[in-house]
Amino acid sequence: MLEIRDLSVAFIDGHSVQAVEHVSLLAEDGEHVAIVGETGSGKSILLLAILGLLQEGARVTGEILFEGQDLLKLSKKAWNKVRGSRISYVPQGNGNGLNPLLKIGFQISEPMMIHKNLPRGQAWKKGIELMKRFYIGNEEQAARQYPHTFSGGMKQRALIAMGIAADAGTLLADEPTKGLDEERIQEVVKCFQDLDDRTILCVTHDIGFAREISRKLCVMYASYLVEYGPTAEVLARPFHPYTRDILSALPENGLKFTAGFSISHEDYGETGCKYARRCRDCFEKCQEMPPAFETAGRKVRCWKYAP
Amino acid sequence: MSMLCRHILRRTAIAVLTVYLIITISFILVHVMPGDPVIHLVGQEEYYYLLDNDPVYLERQIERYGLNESLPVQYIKYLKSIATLDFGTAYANQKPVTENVLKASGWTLMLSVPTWLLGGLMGAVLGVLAGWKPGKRFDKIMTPFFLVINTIPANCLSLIFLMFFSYRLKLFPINGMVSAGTEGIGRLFSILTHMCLPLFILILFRTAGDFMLMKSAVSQIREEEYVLTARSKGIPGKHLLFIHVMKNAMVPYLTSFLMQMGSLLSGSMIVEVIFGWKGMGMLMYNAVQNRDFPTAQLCFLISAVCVVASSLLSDIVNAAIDPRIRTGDVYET
Repeated sequence: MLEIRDLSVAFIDGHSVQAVEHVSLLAEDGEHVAIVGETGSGKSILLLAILGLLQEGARVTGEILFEGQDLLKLSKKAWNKVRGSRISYVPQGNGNGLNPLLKIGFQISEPMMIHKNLPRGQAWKKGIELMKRFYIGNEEQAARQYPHTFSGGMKQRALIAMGIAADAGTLLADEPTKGLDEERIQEVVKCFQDLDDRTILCVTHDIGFAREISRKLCVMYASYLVEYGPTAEVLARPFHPYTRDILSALPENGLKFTAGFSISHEDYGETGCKYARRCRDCFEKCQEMPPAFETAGRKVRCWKYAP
Repeated sequence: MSMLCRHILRRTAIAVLTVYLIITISFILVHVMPGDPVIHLVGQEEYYYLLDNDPVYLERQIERYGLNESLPVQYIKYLKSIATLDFGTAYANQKPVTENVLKASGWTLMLSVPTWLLGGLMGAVLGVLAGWKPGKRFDKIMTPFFLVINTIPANCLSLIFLMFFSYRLKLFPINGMVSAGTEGIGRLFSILTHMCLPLFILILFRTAGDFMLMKSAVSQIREEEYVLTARSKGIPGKHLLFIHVMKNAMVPYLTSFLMQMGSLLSGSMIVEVIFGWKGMGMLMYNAVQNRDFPTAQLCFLISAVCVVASSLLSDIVNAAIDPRIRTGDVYET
């Protein structure tokens, strides 16, 4: 179980920038949670905060309870024992997430050598089994290849295999469908669905993908979690004006995006609701930041849902 | 590995062709230069003086260098003499050029090999330490220091050192390589004291350059996404540095390090001239000054071959480390 309580991340670099503010969410064992939001909303920072891999100068407050233990209280060494073996990270396949000079097989078997103390040969064999499990194809040979010979979809599946190599129960995936075409996205969906025994926290831009893989959905906007609830319900009946706006902007809903684009810089400094400026339902109360109201099994940061 | 072998063969063929082209172009250059080649051999003023007063001598010179023959014949003779390593006699001391060059290169290697190895090693170690934790105290001291060294011209610092250590403090000899009349251990000691200052300066500059390269490589690579991935696997610090960062940083570093091999014989001319070190740099400098054509030609040929050979070597080593180079794939970073 992974529970995040009131997590905030600030970067103090000359002036302080709030990247994540008062985020609380819960992922039960075996539950898949998707986090959607636009670029700069703080979702990737949230993942890195859970892994304890934020750059120096990041100030993290709140609690990250993982199996009853607050990760933020761990020493560097202890955190290194958790990373890879109990919580692991799956970077996006289309990026530079695999070391270009190391063989894929080595990179997949590395977590086993470190956390399970397996000898190299044995880890390599298990790595090949993992590659088979995630449909890489021609595994014996593929393991000896270097990342530049892999396609984006293959790299993504290799990274997922690497994520569970040391049997981590919780996976944090960062935009696993970015830059992939529809068929490759379906393969990633299949991989994630196969992992129904693991807890997955997945950051994505792809709402269709989120619908297929997650039970719970978090919508982030300008460092706040604005809506949080069961995926099917949120997508069928969005509460927060931002969620409504992004859903109406989906192609299948007619690409109607009426609110202005992009988070402007001032939004971060405001005291009121971050979405007020772009919101059509904005009223006086919105000059103040709304707390997360609980309604109908959901958490919504909007004054419209004040009890 | 066959991919690597093919790559090596292709690169070697290109390198041999390059050397051949350099040899040919240097032949053509002499002949397309305006005026009779003899003008360049004996010097302009001397040429006109001889033309008026001693045309027979001039004629003999032309015959001696075979300049009266047709160009293809000259070209074949030229290639033959290079193939048999016969580069003629030096004007300076009437000894075979090869003998002079061998002697001078021995002295130069005494300076350049320790510079190359020690500078390369120290630059790499210090650069990794500074680049791995940028912004920490070590980086904050080392980087400005080496940056300053990098911006001072070598001849300026050499003169300052000479003034201070040799002239004022009289710790080291001002000029030369060995004191006259010394033998055995005494001679060795004398060479060592003569070596100290030039060697120190050469190593200092080499370390500074190599430090900058290694530091920037390591500090950039530690920000790469694949290093974040490696950290997320819980890889302990040392393992992370050596396997996930160093290997990648070695690609640009080894390229530069092996390319430096190309200038082992000809790279320290300024320092050699300032300290009166009779090595290859000094030999080349004097040969050009005194129109010692055969000597200059061999020096030129040697440095060209060294540069081609070292870039071939660095190319092979790169291909051995980086699979993307081996397969010749186009890739984005």
